Amino acid sequence: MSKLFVSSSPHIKSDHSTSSVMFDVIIALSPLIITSVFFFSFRALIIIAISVVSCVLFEYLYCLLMKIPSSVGDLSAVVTGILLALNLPVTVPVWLPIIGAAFAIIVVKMLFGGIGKNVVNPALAGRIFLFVSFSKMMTNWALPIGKSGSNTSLMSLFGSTSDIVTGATPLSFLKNADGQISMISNNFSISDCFVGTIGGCLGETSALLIILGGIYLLIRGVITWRIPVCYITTVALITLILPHATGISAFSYMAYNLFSGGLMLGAIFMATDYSTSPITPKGQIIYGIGCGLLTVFIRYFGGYPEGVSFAIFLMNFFVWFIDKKTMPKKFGGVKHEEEAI
Amino acid sequence: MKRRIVVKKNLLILQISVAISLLFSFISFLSPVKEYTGQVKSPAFLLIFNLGKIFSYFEQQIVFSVIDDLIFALVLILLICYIVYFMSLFLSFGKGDNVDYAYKGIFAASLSSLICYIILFFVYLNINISMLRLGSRVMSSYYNVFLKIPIGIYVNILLTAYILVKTLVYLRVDFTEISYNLQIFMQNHFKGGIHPDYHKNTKFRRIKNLNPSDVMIYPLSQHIGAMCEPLVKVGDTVKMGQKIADSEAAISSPIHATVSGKVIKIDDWDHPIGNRVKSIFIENDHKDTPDKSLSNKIDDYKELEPEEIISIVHEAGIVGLGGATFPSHIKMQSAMNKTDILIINGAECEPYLSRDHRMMLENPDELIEGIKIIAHTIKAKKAYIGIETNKPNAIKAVNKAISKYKSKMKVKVLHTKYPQGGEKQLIKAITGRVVPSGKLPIDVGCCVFNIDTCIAVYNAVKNSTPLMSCVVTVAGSGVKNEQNYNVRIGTPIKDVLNACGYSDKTKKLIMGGPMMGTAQYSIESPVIKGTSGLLCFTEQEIAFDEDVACIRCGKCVNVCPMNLVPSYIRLYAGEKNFEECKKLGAMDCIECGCCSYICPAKLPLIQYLRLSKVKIKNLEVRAKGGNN
Repeated sequence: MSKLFVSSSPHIKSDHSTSSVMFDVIIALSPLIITSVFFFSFRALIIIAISVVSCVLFEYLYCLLMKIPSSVGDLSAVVTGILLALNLPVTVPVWLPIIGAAFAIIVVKMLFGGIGKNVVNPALAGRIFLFVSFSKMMTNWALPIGKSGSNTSLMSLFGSTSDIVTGATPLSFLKNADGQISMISNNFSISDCFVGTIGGCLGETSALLIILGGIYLLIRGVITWRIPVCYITTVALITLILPHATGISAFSYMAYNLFSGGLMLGAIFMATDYSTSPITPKGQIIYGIGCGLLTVFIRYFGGYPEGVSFAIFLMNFFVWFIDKKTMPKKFGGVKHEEEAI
Repeated sequence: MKRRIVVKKNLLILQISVAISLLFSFISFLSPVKEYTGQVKSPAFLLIFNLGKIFSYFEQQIVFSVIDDLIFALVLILLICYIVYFMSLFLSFGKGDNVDYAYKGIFAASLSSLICYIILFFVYLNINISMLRLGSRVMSSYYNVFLKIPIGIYVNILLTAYILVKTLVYLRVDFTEISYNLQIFMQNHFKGGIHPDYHKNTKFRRIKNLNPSDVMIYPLSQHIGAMCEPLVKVGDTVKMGQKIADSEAAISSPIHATVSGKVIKIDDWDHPIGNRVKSIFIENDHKDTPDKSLSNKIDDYKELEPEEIISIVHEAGIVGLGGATFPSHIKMQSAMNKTDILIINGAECEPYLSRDHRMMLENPDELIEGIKIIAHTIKAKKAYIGIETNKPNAIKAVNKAISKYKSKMKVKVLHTKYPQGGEKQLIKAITGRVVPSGKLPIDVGCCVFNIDTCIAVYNAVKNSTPLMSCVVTVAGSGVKNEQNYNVRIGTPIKDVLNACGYSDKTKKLIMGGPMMGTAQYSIESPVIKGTSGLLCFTEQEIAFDEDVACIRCGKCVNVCPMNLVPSYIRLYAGEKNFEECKKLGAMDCIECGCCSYICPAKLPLIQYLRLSKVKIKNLEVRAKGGNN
């Protein structure tokens, strides 16, 4: 007669675990990694690898030093590493991702108590840290191989930074004055922006693949539609209304705003980060709209052409407050409260 | 045993046909598409050619031809299908779950490749016909139009169709279930809920009767409410159906002997709830001598006053058999004249359990009669039977019985999700009414009864039989024969399990369903009223995960059927701030366990909710005491 194991119900649990959720995010990000190699040569892969390895290593070392059980197994450091690398231009020196990873993992994530307790998104904070500290390196946008005019030989896939041609991004055209804004359509078509053959960070160029990854995450139930949809719709509506310099139509102004820069990557992969987004349904909608408003206003009024990372970064601080104010009404709760009053 | 051989034979045929299909697919795959552009091309060649195109696509130099692209896309899908086929073929040689996955893989692959082949067929046909019109030398007649299509396509259409039908038969895909799923699309439903693996292996097997044991055990507390006092002494002889314990208290229900024999002792004994309770032991003489109260039969219940029926139900010791075991006569008493809708809960949303399903299939007439009696007693205007879409044959059986009796009650088809059988969720799904927080279903004019309870009421009123047996699902990998048994109340769990081939590998024994049932510490305790299932879980089914930090994923918020925020309640409960827990609605928790089930960090959320419920109750009691 064997001993029976006694515990409280439920006796079955779902197959989800923290690491399986993170693994789903990695799967959704993998097309971006592959195309970044296509667009920006194998150097992209090197930067991603350095970033991932250093993120995991810093987390492991921190746990070792602080004598706490290692949390590397939940794969969240890998996701942070990939996201940080996808937010860097391909031309950065190889030591830059290491500094970013150190800041993201040690200062932003682990000092606040590890996974689930960080106030801001580690990858995003790492990017902003690098952006304000090394802004010259961080804004040296490379053009994708096909766009640079050089022949697409296999050799250039393995090439060093010297082969890479840099140039302006669509957003920097939008930022400029009247005369320049019409130049944008000569350099980049809207379908260029959608497919990803434009200059920019490693992972943010191809809106198409980011949306595909987002659809995968939605199907797997990793994220809900609320934050990305509210975020993107807000940006779309506001940019349609806002007055802009003459040269292009309101619709194409909106389209360039949507498909270029970090908006898609930010809305689908950054703003939906679990620890730094509200968990209540209403709160997620408010958070998405807030991110959208801040993004447009920073892009429109601010000094930088890019506003997504700052917008999400700022909204991260309001998450706790939004959660508190948007607690859902319990099932059958409405009538009861009316009666009580 | 016979079925297993049939399944094995089926599997062998399927494996052979998949292998042939794979072989033939390569014939069609490599057969050249002559004549259509003047050069010899095969789909395989097209594939390689087009991969080059994709690479240059980013340079936007090559304009695509539509047919090329279509064939390319189809061949790409076919390639994926072959890979799935091949992997499924590998899996099908494995054991257990692997074979199931293999079947699902073969099903998906054959379906999509069948569609691809049919499209390919039409593409080729179209090309050939247009070449015939252009006056090609090769396509001289209509006969040639069909002949010039690669033979592999014909063979594969037939083969994949055959494989598709074969897998469909094995997987028992129920088309009525799919049609019911389409029907409920626009219906009322509650927010949240989960879709666990249902494992309802027992739903195909008839309910078997289990012989009572030599010694039967009757705990004096088998329901919510006051404990009963024994009416018999040690040494008394009792008959089957004789009342052996009762209580004067307002909320209580009598207990009956389910066998005839002699009382041998009255002592404390293991109770399924987890404590030791005073119990009556009866030695079975295996004669089943009926008590004289069992002999009066009532022909027409409509002659009886509602109060009389309620007293019959009281005397028969009927309690809610869904698991809560609330005495039914009190529920009927309070629902009388206040209820306009009677709801019968046939959802059975708990995984593994299939007893309600089997009872609806096997005793639909008794069920309908029972519902009519209850509706007559509480003067309900309408009666609905809620059944989930995963039980299409039960829906059919109950509908048939309803039309036979020309009754006005209706079957409501429900979404298959847990906790569809929760009282408040069921009322929302069937009537659209919302039970206010802290109120009872009666406050919105609804009354919910279980399938089992209705049949017990029928037996009590029509046959004067008290509640003596209940149907128990025995399932899990710890028993050899998973089966529904009609068990006399009082039979030790040990004997029920031994009848099914209980193995020592069982690590966890659960009374009830896996989501809300209680884990047992002893197999000596008896089956009581409200025992709906006995699940023997071995290591492969038990979740032994350690909890890690909350990642704030919000899944618990999305699945909570009561629209609470379990993760925040856990935070406050951890801080012992129970006032805040109360504000967040912890008292409304129905303890369905969805939050704990779905949590990726494996946090014991439901335990925190239970803790805060107890603590809030204590606080309220203390506050009242202070006022006095």
